[in-house]
Amino acid sequence: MKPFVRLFALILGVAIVLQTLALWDATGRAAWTRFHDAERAAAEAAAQGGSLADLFEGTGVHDDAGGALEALPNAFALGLLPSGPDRHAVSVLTLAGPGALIALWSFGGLLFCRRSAKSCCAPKHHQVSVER
Amino acid sequence: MAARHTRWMVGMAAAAMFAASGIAAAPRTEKGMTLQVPAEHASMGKVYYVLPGKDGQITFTSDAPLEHIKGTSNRVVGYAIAPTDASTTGALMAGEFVLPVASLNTGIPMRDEHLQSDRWMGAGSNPDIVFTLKEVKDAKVAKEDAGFTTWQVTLVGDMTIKGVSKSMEVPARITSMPESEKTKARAPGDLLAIRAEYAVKMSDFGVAKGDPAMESGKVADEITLDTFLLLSTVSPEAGR
Repeated sequence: MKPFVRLFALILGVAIVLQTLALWDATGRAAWTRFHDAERAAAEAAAQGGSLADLFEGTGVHDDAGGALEALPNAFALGLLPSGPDRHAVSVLTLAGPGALIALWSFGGLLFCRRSAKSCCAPKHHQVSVER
Repeated sequence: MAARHTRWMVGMAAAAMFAASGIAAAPRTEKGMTLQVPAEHASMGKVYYVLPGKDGQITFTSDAPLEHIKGTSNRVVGYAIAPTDASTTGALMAGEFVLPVASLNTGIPMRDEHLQSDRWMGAGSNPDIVFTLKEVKDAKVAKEDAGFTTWQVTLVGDMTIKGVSKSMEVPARITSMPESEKTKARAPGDLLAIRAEYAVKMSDFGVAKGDPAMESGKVADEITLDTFLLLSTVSPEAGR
């Protein structure tokens, strides 16, 4: 394979890995991938308008627990690991893994080409002439 | 024939003992939004019904070395019996709270399936987690103002998880709010809020004992439960 193709594959692989890690970081560094639950969001939005719980703010009922009950996060998060076979299969491992393999394979190929006396990157006619 | 008859008798006796031990929860009403309050409880005092479905009622947290898992449910149903004298409402006398295992939501469908499987909570054979309130200890007023009173209490009762019952004492705060123009806009009836944060050891209830996920540090044996229940003297099924 020509060196510029290997270099292009290397850049592509590194880009995939970096972008995946950036997305993992931006979505909360979750261990497992999760998706937004529209049903739960609608229920929470309905509860926001005139929540019964609001009536008890300032009554001291939450004083021992240090605040109101925390809600479960409900935003998309790219996890380090997949959390299911369907759309939950997307994760840092399944995205950056293949990206890293492509990058490693390309990098290894480039190194090998540079070091090898019988260059694997040389044009075919040259290889043939060397074999003769 | 005689041996078979004896086995049947032993089986029936065991079933009767199981029922008498209080493991069986009060049955749900036909609509399923609350429990049928036993007559002996209803006659003790004022009945407050848990209002499920709107606000978050419970969060559970597993803080294991390898993974932090958080889940929630807002499907708790049940009731509590309070003294008829408003000045002692916090000293609840009885009650039962039922959390359907199938309603536990960790935000990851596959994990929820695992949680409900026989290896873990066994939702098929034990569909509910039940807390039966027997009494309230050490009730003292923590805060009082026009329109509400908050008590600091210790709830004493039996927690039943996966068919295993354990006696528990749970520190809690209870706020009562008699019906007013302000409360009527949100919900009818006298209102009560119960907030309790406590820990439960899964191994005490035979849940996932020796499971690889627990052994490897992905799931903690001690689960923290944070509960905030809102109750009203008007049943959630009234007017429906």
